[in-house]
Amino acid sequence: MTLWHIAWRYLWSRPLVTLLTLAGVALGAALISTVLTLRSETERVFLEEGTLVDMVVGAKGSPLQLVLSSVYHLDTPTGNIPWSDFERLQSDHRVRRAIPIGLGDNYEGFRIVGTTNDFFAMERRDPETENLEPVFEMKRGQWDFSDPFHAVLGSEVARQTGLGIGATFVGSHGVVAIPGSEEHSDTPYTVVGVLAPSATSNDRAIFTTIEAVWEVHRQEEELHDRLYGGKEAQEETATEEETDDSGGWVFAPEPIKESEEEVTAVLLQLTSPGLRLWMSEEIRNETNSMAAIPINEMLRLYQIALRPMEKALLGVAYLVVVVAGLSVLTTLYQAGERRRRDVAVMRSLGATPLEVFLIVQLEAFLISVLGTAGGWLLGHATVFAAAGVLRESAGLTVSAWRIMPGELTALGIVAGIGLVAGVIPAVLAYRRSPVEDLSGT
Amino acid sequence: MSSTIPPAVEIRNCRRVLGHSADRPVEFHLDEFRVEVGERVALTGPSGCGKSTLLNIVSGLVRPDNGVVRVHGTDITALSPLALDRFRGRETGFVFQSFNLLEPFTAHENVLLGMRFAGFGSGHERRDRAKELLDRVGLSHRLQARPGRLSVGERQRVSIARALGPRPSVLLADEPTGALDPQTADSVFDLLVELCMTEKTTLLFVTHDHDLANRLPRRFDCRSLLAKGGAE
Repeated sequence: MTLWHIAWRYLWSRPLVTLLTLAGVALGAALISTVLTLRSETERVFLEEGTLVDMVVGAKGSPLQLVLSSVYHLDTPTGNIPWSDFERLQSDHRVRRAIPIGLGDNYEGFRIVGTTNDFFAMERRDPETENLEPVFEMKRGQWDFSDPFHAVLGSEVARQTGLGIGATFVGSHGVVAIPGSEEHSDTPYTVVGVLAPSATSNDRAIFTTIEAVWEVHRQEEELHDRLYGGKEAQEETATEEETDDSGGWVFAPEPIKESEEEVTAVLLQLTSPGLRLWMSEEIRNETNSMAAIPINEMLRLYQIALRPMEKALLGVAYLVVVVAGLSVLTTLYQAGERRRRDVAVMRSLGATPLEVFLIVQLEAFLISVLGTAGGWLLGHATVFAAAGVLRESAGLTVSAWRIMPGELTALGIVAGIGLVAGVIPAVLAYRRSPVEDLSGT
Repeated sequence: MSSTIPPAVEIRNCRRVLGHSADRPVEFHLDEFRVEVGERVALTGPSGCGKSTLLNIVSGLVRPDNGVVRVHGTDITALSPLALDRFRGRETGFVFQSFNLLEPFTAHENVLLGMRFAGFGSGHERRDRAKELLDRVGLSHRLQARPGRLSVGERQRVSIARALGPRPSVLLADEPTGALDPQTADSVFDLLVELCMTEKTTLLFVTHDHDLANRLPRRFDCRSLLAKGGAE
């Protein structure tokens, strides 16, 4: 019979108290695991996706908003830029691939993205092999944009809407679903393909041709003109906005020729990532458009907004761990008080003070390690449960069971706190005189 | 009586201040006490007269302030704390009035624990010895029972088996029949004496029961231990 065996038996001789103490430690560890895993995984997924595109060019405004709206399908677009800007970028020798994006409508909350076949030709570099691999694979159907109103669904859209090949649907105005918003019932889309999951935000988007987006909004403008007057009235309003001297950003782009079409943004893959800063400066200084580098914007977002939140959450988690540590101390102290006689009997049987100390310390170790392991499981199970919500709401595909950087250290600290909490009762047991506790027995 | 074999217990000029009463020190005082190997001695006297202290001194749980305490020829006052703990486990066995079995463990495990802390034998030897002893105290059918499931008589039998596990040279029984009804007390007493005889273990038996004390070959009156020492 080893000291481990003895400690284990004592631990389970008071199952309710042990389970409650374990639950306290597990809760602290679970909080830490959840925060670290969610943070690391969302950061990884966001940043990985941010590297797919070297640069986004769009209307002037917030660079982060431009990136979130055109790469992650999350925010509202900053505005539109002329098609000629796209053509100029496409012909630039430094650009490997230029992909136009047109936004404006949604179907059941999923954005309808007007683009070209080039979108589906995007590649990403495998971090291990360094080889370029296609981002998108077709699960069913094909990339058939021969008809402007053909549509290809992201995997999550197909799963949630139940639309299949050949199904038709109509878009609603706006990039988010608003009850009662106008439906474009004259211009239905036909599903010709469903994408395999790509673990990117694009799983939550519907892709069609850029021409379809233009056509839908041409009809919408015509209707608008019939109801509220012609373009002249709008141009007057636009001019007023431009001359507004309130000191804020002027969002209105330069006047667009009536014949000229627009795009919401242009996604660029460059011949070399080293060109990002140079080209973005050039676009900012020499055109009315704005260039944003997705990876930089996301890193900035994490630095400014998410890191402090993560630190606050980790602070709370460590506080829970300290409370759990105190509960380990209380539990073992009370257990020690209740079994003073047992300790005295062990001493009379020949146990050394060190053996008595180790038995109590092993109990603390078992509580700490089992609680921490249980907390790790609980934390990752929570992430696993949250993964579905993240996939559906933000298109993030997080891996629930990956061990995060720093997670083992953090969990080691949790186990360490439990062990330290066991030292006081162990020392008390070590120093106790058996004679007093045996008297009258 | 002279012998080449050292006595099981030999105490000389032993003093130990146990505390204070009305600002005067209460001192344990024993000039000479000698028990030969295999002897069975009843320690008698009223409560608080020092009987249990004598057992604690023999086991080394209480160290005298001065004097010599030898167990099987070893001066235990000269041992280091660690060596004394091991010596206690190996050479002395305790049987208590209230059994003091460890509740989380089965009868078999309680006996094993005694041997484990004494550093007796290998794991295999301990398991065999524990089973053999529990068989000899008539509890071979209760090996897996927890103390709470045993009758008081059975608990004391387990306690005796635990004390004898490491084959101690001296068994220290502190009123082992005090919590038992007369019939059970009789059978436990007989068992204890019989086992000590077969195991060739010296027995120091603290009791208030004069009938039981008279059934042992020798009695030691402890009434004067806390005043000026004792004599047979």
